[in-house]
Amino acid sequence: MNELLLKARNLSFSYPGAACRQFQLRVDHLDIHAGETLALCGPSGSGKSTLLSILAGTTRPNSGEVHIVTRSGQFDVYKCGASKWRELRQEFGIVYQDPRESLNDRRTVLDIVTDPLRIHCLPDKLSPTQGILDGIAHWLQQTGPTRSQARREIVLDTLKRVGITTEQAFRTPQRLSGGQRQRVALARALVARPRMLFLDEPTSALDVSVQASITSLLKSVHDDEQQLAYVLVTHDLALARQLADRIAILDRGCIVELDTSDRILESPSSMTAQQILSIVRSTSHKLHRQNLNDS
Amino acid sequence: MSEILKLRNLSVCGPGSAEIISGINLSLRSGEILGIVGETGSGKTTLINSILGLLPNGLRVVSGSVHVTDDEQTVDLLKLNGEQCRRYLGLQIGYVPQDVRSGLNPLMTARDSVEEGARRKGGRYQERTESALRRAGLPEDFLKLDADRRPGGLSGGQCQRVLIAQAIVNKPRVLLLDEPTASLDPLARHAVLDTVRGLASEHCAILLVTHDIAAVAEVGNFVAVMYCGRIVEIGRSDELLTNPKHPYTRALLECVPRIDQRMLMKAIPGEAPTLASDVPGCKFHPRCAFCEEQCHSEEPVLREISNGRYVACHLAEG
Amino acid sequence: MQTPRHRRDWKSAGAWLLLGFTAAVVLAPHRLTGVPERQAQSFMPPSLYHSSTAGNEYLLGTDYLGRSFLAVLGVAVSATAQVALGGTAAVLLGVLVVGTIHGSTQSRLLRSALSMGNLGVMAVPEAAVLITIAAIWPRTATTWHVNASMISVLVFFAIPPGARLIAERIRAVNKSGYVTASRECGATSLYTFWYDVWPHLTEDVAWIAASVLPRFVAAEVGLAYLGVEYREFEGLGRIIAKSFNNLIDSTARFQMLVTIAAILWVALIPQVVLHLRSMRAWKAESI
Repeated sequence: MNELLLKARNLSFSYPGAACRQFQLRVDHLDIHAGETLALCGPSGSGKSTLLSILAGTTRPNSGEVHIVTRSGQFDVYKCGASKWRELRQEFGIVYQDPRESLNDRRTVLDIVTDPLRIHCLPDKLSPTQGILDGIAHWLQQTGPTRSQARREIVLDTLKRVGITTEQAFRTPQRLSGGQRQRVALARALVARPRMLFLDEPTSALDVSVQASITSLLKSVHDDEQQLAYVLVTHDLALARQLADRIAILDRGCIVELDTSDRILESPSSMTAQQILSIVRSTSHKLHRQNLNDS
Repeated sequence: MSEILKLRNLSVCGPGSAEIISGINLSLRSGEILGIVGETGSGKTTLINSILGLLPNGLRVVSGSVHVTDDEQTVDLLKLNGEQCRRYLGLQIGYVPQDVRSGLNPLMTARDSVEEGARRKGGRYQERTESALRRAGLPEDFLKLDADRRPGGLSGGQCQRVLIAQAIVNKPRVLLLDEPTASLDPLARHAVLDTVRGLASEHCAILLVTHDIAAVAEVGNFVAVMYCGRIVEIGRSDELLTNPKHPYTRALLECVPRIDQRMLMKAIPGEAPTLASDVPGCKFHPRCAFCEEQCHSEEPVLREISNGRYVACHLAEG
Repeated sequence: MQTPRHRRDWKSAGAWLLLGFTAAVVLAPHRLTGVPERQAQSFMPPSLYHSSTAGNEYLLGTDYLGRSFLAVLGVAVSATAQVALGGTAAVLLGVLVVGTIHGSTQSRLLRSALSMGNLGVMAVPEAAVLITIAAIWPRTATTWHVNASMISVLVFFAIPPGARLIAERIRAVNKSGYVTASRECGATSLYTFWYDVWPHLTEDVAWIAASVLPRFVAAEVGLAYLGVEYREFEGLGRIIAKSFNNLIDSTARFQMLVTIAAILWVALIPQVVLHLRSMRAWKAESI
């Protein structure tokens, strides 16, 4: 088994307010190991996005613990204090559903993707004050690349990895297509080299033709970085099958089934999974009739 | 059966007289579902907006006609003034907008939103409201418990069906659906498509605009594939989806992920051009795997290659 | 290397605004009145001035004291612009502080207190307060106090509407996906404010500045014309008031027109710049 990155124990969560009182999320036990790919699937309202944001450390559960294992020790994400929490964010990369929403249209792509580096004082881990002193020293000596040049190198490299050219890096997200924006969002999630990548419906706001390319990009990123763990929320089982080794099926706030993706898709044991699969199969059958006839 | 909606040579221009959609011919009979598929920017939503006369600032219809037939007469919607047009919108033509959340008034309850439309026709509007909510596929306990909630307290799938109820409350002859299944989970999507099928069986002509080809495969009688504001292929859905003739249709079908195999789907290389006028010849040729000399210079016209099957490609054969 | 777009925007809007005024405030007195010895000479009546071509070398002629009118005008523009810029800066500071607290505070108590304060200020007619203040000062009060109190009333009244605009904008931006995204990257509130929120505020801030500035110019000119001005203060209002005293002279009439043009320039240039800019942006958008 690979190194343990995140463990969640006895989570429970319900939204405040009367409107959502029927919904309660309960997850007793969930571990995420380095290099694994886990998909959270289920109908909408099953709590998969909520679970993702709890695991990603952004929504405080009513009770329960989320422990993250970093290189310097183990921390409870929700009990470690605000500044430690901010420091821990470096371990998490998050890609959101709608890239139009998650990228600031008033800034250039380069500026946006540099954010995590600036926030976490990467790559040299100097505090902002030290950074300014370092900058002055550089200016006096005129040797080597400055900090911002070093950052720009890293950002442009990351952008190149996800298929954004240097010319596009100087545009604002408004002037990019949906697929390119999602690539930028992915670059921002990857640039600080996190150990876990959280993907909240990364393709559902995109065109079919673009979905395929983003999916293969996500796959190739994982092939490059074998130790990077993916946690993926999707209602598209076909996407889950392509990206994830393990699938967790959620229904009404509980994990009803958690198994390898092959086993779940071949022989689902829970009602929810069976129901979803039968619908998806019938659609897929209608669409790919010709190909099935061929084979 | 008679044609209810008929588009002839409809073209829409943007600022600087760049064509957004050009030369669209479509016709729709009652009880038929026509799916229009294409990528973002292919002009699907502009097509719907031009039928409704809701084009955003800067866009205008330059040629063509939109004929709607009701019991008494056939009229060209584009030639009507605002007052006359309002007699058709919402009464003869139902419209379900793309953006579910902003499509509903956030300060009105679901039932009130539907009732508001029903009042326009008068009569026993409360009964019609209830039946519309039911026909839109909302379950009985929704009518009892949730119908008096505001959109903020409803799920995406529920909002979608409230919007459909709003569109069908006056039993329109034509229903225009803009991306009704986007961002719905498989169960909700299945239910919405069931509703659509049910409406077609009530003799409603339905135009279903979507990028979800699987949805069209499930409910559509006919499919039109749009690229860069042009229809590149049109035909019966079972024929077209099992035996695509245009390279773009083929590529689009290959993009759809499959549940039965673990393999990566092929993406279409390149990006769709934002303005069709940027590309000479066939608009698809820069991304086409079968591109030939002719495609660079000559724009293919939509021609019939077999019964009821039209393709705009130089290389397609019957 | 290109700079980010919002920085360029800020430069083009802000640079125009600041450039004109800094030039007016800092350079005008020095450029127009020259070196100190020369300045002392040019403030002498032409009859005492030793040059034989005295009086003719001034571009706009001399004022009633025989000083170069251009120099006087320059000093006056500078003085008026100083008041206007000072007032505007005070308003902007108030707007940003109140707006930011109002827009991003989680405390309901603070938010409702601010709203109440805003509503209270906006419910009182501004003109009534100004008239009351002008009347309430005793005859012996220095004009400096009168003017300062009037300006501070203007500042006070200009803050609530601007702060409301800024607060709404901050609230909207704070709800957006990209602010969530950058918070979840571990950004502090200060970082998010500077990198994600501020680019959305620049335009509003420029508009607030452009709409507030003419109020101060008008107040200064108006007060001077009414005779409640600070005697040692050589602003544009003072020149206008003086030039009304000898309108029979054609040079004086011409000089008055020039002064009015200068007042309009000081008051309206930022608005004109912003209008041109928004028209350009509108054109760029529609293509």
